[in-house]
Amino acid sequence: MEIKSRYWLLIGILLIFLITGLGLRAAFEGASDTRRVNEHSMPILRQLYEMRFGVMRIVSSTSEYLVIKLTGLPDDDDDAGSPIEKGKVPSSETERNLIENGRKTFAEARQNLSLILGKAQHGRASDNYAAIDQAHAALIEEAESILGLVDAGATAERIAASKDEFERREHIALKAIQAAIDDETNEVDGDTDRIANSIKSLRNELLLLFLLLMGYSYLVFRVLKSEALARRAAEDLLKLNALESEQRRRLEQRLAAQQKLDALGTMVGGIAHSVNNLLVPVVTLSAMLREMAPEGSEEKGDLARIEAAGTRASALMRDVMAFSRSDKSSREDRCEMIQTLAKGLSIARASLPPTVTLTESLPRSPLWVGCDEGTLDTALLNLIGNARDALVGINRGRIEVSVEVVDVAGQQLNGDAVNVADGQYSRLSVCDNGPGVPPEIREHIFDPFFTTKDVGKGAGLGLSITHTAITRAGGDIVIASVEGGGACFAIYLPLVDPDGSDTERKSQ
Amino acid sequence: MKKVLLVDDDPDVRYSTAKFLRFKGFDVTEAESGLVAMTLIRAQNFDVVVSDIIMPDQDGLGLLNEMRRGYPGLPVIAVSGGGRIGAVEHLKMASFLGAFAALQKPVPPDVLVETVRRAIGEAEEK
Repeated sequence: MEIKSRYWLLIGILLIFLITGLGLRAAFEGASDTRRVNEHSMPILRQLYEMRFGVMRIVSSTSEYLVIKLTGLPDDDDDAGSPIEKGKVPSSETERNLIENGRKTFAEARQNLSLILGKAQHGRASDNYAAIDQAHAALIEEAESILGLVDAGATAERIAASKDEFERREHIALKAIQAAIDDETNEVDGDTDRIANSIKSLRNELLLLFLLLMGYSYLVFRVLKSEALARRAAEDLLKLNALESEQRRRLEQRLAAQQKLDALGTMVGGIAHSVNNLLVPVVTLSAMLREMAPEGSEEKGDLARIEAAGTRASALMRDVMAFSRSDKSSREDRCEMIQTLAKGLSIARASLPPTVTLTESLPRSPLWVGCDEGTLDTALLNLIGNARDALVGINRGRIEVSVEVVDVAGQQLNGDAVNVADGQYSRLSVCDNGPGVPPEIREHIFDPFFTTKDVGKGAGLGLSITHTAITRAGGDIVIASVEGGGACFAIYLPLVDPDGSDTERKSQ
Repeated sequence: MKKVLLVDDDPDVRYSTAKFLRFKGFDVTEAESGLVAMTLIRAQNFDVVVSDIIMPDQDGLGLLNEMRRGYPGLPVIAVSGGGRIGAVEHLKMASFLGAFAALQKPVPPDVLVETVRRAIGEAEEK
C-alpha cells in the first residue's frame, strides 16, 4: 500500500501543476485580449464616432446655408440680424461671418479627419479609412461649392440642385464611417468573446483544481491513516511477540522444571540402586552370622536386628524407587505407542541371532493407546521372544512387526475374532515364519502356566500375563491366521486422546 | 558340591554373597566382570550362574545373551539393584533375555539359596 500510495501522491501533484498551468495560460490570454480592447479598439471606436460627429457638423453647417438661401431665414431664431435676401449676395456682417465660419469649419474638419485617420491605424479597417477620407473630401468639396454658390448669390433653384448631390455625398461618407465602425465593433466583439471564453476556461480550470485538491487531500489523509494503522499494527505485533515470548518463557520454565524432576527421579533411582547394593553385605552377612550364632545368645538377637533393619531399609528403597518412577510424566493408563515400540524394538533386535532378521513397519506420526508403557513393552518383548524361540533351527528366520489403525465394528476384522467394543484401535502384529501354532494348542495358548518350552526355559507365564494386562486395558490379543505357515499374533489396543478426553466405549 | 559362578563388580557384594553361599555348602567362584565370567565358563563346568546385570559396559546383559546362545543348559539367575534401561525395567529385560529368575537386591538370603537350588534342580532334570 505504501509504495502505491506514493505513486498516487506524485501523480496528484503533477496533475495539480498541469491544471494550474492551463488555468494560468487562459488567464494570460484573457488579460492580453482585454488589454488590446482597452488600448486599441476602444480609442478607435471613439475616434470613429468623432469622425461621424464631425461629418454631422459639416452637414448641419451646410444645412444652415441651405436654409438661409432657400427660405431667406437664418436657422437660429436668436439671430435677430437681417436675413440674407433671396437672390441677393450676403452683405451684412452676420451673413459674412456665417460664411467665413462655414469655410473655417470645413477646413478644420479636413485637418481633424487627417489627424484622426493618422491615429486610427488598424489592420483591417485601413481600407475603410481610405474610403472615409475620400468620401469626406468629396463631401467637403460639395459643401464648399454650396457655400460658394451662396456667397455668389445663386438662385434657390440652383442651390436645390446641389442639395441632392450634397446629400448623396453625405450618405456615402456616413456609410463609409459606419462600415469602419462596424468592422471595429466586430473586432471588439471578437475580443470580448475571447475574453469571456478565457474567463470560462479559467473558471473550469479552477474548479478542476479545486476537485483535484480535494481528492489529493483525501489521498493524503488515507495515506496518513494507513500509516497510522500500520504503525499500530507494528506495535500490536511487538506486543504479541512480547506475549509469545512470555508464554514461551513460561513453557521453557515448565519444561526445565519437568526436566529437573526427571533428573531428580533418575538421581533418586541411582541412589536407590547404590543403597540396594550397599545393603547386600548388611543383609547377607548378618543372616549368615545369625545362623552361626548359638541359640539364645545375645549376638543372635543383635544380628537379627541388623538383618531386620537392612530389610526395612531395602523396603524403603523400593518405595522410594516406586515414587521416583511415578513422579515421571509417564501415565498409568495411556502411552504413545510408536515411541515405546521403537525403544523396545531396538533392544529386541540386539538379542536376535544372526539367522533371524527383524523388519518393522510403523506409522510415522504419534499414536496414543489406552495402556501403560510397561504393559505394551512387556507384551512386545513377550511376542518377539516367542517368535525368536519358534525360529530356532530355521535358516533365514523372519520376524515382522507392524502397526496399523483399524476400525472395529462387530467382532470380525481381517478374519480376527476380536472381543472388544466398537471403535478405533491400533493393531500391533508380530509375525514369524516358524512352524506356526498347531490348532490343538491355540485354545490354550493364553492359559496360565501353559508352555511348550522345555522345562527350565520359562514358566509359561508370559503370554498369560500379557493377555490379562491387554484385556484389562480394553484391548485384545489374538492369533491371526497366516498364509503359508508361521505364526502371527495381533494385539488390539484402543486409541485415546493424549490428554484424557476419551469417547465412551460401549460395553459389550 | 554344586558349582556356582558369582558375577558382580561390587567387591562387598561379591564377598558377602560368596561367603553366605559357601556357608550354605556351595562351591563359589567369583568374577568381577562379564568378560572374566565368560573366560571362566569356557574353562570350567558350572551348575548355575548368579550375575548382576547392571555392570559397566552393559556387561551383565551381554553376558546373559551370550549365555543363552552359547550355554543354553546353564541357568542364569539375574540380580539387580533396580532401575530401567529406557522404558524397560532391568529385571523384565533379564526375563526376556532368558534368565531363569530375576531377583531384586538385596535378595533375602534364604530366597537366594532357594532359587539357586531350584535352578540347579531343574537343570539336572533335563
